[in-house]
Amino acid sequence: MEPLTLITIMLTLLPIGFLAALVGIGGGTIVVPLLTLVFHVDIKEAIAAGSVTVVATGVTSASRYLKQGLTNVRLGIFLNTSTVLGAIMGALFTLTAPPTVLYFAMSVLLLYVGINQITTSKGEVARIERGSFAKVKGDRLARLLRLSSSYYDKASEREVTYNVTRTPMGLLASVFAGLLSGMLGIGGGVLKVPIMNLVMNVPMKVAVATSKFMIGMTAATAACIYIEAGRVNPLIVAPTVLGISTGAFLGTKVMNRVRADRLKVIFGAVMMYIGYLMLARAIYAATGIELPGCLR
Amino acid sequence: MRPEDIAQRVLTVGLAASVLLFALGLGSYLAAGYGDFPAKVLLMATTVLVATPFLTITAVIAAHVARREFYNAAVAIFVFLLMLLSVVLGLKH
Repeated sequence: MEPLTLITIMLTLLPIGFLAALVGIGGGTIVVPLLTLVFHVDIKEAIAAGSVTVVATGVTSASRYLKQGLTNVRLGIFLNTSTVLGAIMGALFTLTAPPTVLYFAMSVLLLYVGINQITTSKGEVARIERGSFAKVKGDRLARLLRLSSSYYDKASEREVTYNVTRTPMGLLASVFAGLLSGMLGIGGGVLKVPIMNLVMNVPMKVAVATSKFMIGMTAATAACIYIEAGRVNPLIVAPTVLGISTGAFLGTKVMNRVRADRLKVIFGAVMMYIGYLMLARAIYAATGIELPGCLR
Repeated sequence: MRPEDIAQRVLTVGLAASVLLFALGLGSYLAAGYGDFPAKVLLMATTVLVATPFLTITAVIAAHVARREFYNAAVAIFVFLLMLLSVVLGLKH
C-alpha cells in the first residue's frame, strides 16, 4: 500500500472517530463501507479492520470519559450481561431471518429513535436544570448493584445526580439490541445510548460515555476471532486505528462541553443517517433499486 | 481503589502501548518497506489493543472483590465468561 494512501486513510478516519466519541457509537457502520468503496479494501479485510477500529474508539473514549467521571462502569458491565448474550444468540441465529427484513426493521427502529432523540432534546436540558434525574426513584436492582451515580456537566456547570430505574426493561431491551447487533454485525451503540437515556433515566452524556465503555468490550471478542482467523491486515489496521483514535481523543475533549440538547440532536441526526443507509440497503436487496448514497 | 479508577488506568496504559507500537510499526514500514519487523510490531500492537478490554474487566473484577462488592463482582465475572464464550463460539464457526 502506498504511503500516501495510508496517510489519506488516517486523515479520513479522524472525523469519524470524533463523531463516534461524541455520540457513543463504534463507527464500524461507517468505516467498513468507507474502506471498501473509497479505498478498495477487500470486504473481509475491511470488516476485520472495522472490528479492531471499534475497539480503538471504545478504548480511547472509555479511558478519557472515565477520567472525566462520565462513565458508569457498574451500569455498563451490568447491561453487557444481556447485550453480549443477545449478540451470541444473534450471531448463531442470523441464518433464520432474511437480511432484507433485518435491515428494514433496523432502519425503521433507527429512524424512530433518531426522531425521538431530536424531539426530546429540549427536555434533557430542562431535566438537568430542574434536577429531575435525581427525583426519579431508583429500582431495587439498581440500588443493590449501586448503579445510580452523578457527574459534573461542564456545559451547564452543575453536578448532575441520577437514579437508574427500570433495570429489568433495560436488560430486556439490551438483549434485543445485542440480538440485532449480532445478526447485523454492528456494534450496537446506536441502540445502547437510547435504551439508557430514554428507558433507564440515564443522562445523555453518561449514556454516551457508558456506551463507549461497553462497545470496547463487545467489539474485542469479534476482533479476537478475526485475528485468530488471520483476517487482520496490519497495514490497513494501523492507519485506521491511529486516525480514528486521534479523532476519538478530540471528540472526548469536546463532548462534555456541548449542551445536552445539541448532543441529542447530533445523535438523532446520525441515527437517521444510519437508518437511511440501512433502508437503502434493504430496498436495494429487495428490488434492485439504488437510492442515493446506497452502500451495497 | 475504585473500579472506575483501575479501569481508567488499564485502558490508558493499553491504549498508549498499542498506539506507540502502531506508530513504530508504521514508521518502520514507511522508512524501510514491509518486512518481518513491521509486520510483527503491527500484529503485536493489534493484539495489545484487543487484549485491553479483557484486561480491564479482569481488573474491575479484582477491584470489586477487594471492595467486597460481591454482587458487582459476580456480574462482571458473568460478562467476562460470556466474552470468552463468544470468542470460543466464533472460533468454532
